[in-house]
Amino acid sequence: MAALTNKVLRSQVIFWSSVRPVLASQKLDIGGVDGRQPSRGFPTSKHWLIKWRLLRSKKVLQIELPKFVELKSEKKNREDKTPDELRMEMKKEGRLPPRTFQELPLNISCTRSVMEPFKPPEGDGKHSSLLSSHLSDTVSRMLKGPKSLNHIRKLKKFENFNESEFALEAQNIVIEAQMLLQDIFKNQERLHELVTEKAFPEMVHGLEYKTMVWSLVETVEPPKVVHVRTETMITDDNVFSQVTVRLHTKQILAIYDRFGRLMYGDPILPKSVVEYVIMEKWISDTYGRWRIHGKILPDSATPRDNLIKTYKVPKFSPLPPAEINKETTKETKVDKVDTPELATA
Amino acid sequence: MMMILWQMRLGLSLTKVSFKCLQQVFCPQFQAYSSCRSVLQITSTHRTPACCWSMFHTSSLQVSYRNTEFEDEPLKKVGRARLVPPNWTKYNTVVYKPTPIGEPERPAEICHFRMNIKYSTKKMWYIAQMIRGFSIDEAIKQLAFHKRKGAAHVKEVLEEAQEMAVRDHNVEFKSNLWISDSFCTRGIIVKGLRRHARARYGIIQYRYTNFFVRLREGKPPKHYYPPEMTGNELMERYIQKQRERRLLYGL
Repeated sequence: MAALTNKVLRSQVIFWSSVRPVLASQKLDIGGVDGRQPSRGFPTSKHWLIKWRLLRSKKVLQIELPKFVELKSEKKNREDKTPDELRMEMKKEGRLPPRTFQELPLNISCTRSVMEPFKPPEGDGKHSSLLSSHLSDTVSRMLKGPKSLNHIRKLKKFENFNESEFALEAQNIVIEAQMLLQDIFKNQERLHELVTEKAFPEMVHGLEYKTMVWSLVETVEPPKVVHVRTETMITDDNVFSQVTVRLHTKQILAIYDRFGRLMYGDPILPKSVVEYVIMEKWISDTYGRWRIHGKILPDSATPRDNLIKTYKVPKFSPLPPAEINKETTKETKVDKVDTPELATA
Repeated sequence: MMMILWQMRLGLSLTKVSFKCLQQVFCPQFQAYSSCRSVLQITSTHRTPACCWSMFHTSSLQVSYRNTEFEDEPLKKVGRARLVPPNWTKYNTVVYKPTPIGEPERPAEICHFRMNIKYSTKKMWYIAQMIRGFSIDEAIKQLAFHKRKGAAHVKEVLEEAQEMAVRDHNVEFKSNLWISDSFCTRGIIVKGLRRHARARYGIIQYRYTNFFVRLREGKPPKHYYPPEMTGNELMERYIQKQRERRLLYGL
């Protein structure tokens, strides 16, 4: 009982101490007729004297309401905020200062680049191979022969390499990978066995919410190995090999958007395609396997068909000029010497 | 194995395959990890402070960093308030089968939302129901002149959705959209206090609201809701009902 009265007393004390006497000279500018609250013809529960209005509002506990979303028009851009403002904001929300990752994401199971990319002869697949330009190409390739023989020799040290057999194997890999692309989420694991980490995003990007229909109609010419390269990375016994294979096939390709509407290609019309696919293998690794690494698009290739629907080309504002510090440039130079050609993904 | 450790250590986006391997690798973690570390020290490209060597450093595990350089996605939750609805965005990831040749194409559909706006749900309802069945241009125009505060939020949501439609969902013309769904739901409620006599307290509820919209490609329908029946139609319906009467168990 004593505790209860104590509590009541205390609250009363607080209440009365928070009330400040209102002077008669202070005129409160609050609406209403004769100091009465406006109501729709009913007496209100509120006191008729205005001076209590301010005191009534003081009864409400002042809390700061969280602001989850703001209007864009009211929102201040991050660039407009001063560093001090940003700091205060972050302190208030209990955020930590930005963390920068200085590490370079590395992947050593494939190379980042194509070694000495193969240059396809002009008009390959369009003209007869007896044309004079084609002949001169073959002659020049014959002259270059010993150089690529070196690479083949090195490759044969590590594995039993037969060009004609390999070309068929490569074609099978390409066909399987293309078929798997039709359902990326389901076939992700298998795709990683057939495609290198460098080529995977190139193949998959943008296909996530689209439907791709692809099928091989026939092989026009037997596949053929046209280019072999081997290279060591960091140490002499760490060897990668890249083989370019020429495929001449007839394919059907149609890409549909999320709503099943045709975006690109044709579901009925087969087209004959000449492809130069680069296969890569980490040959010095016990578990290395031949995987698709990239494709060579010759400059003379016919341009791709347009998308069926038109779209507005977005306008991008130019990037701000990059700030170059002397220290950072030095560091990067050193880095390049340390790791010559590790793949970044 | 070493390679996977390396990938993970260096923040590479891990594939499903490597995740599987990781589960096997990381149970007896530390031996493998230490060997990985020695390799890294030799070949690492950047000199990072020792405390940052470990991905499993306590500070990095326990602390949730928000505004890192790689932060692309907005926050999904602040405290107990969701900023992204659990299911509504999933409609934007539905992939429909290709339309057979000769059949009419399926119109594009885009869902968008804004969660926990500081506004009354009851007041928001007036705005949400007003724009139903409007073309997007008409809706934005009407909202621009609407005097309620929530209209500004709704207008921004519509504009965002329109931009998304053109950018991500293969919609050709941005004006060729209409509002097929528009509704609001209750957001979180923050409780405040008001002092009463005799050491009592009253609870004040500060309410938040969520707004959802679905745009559809094409022209808006003539009637979003079924139109009012004309006198003739009413009469026809009456007559039909009269004729449908049957005597139960009659001969």
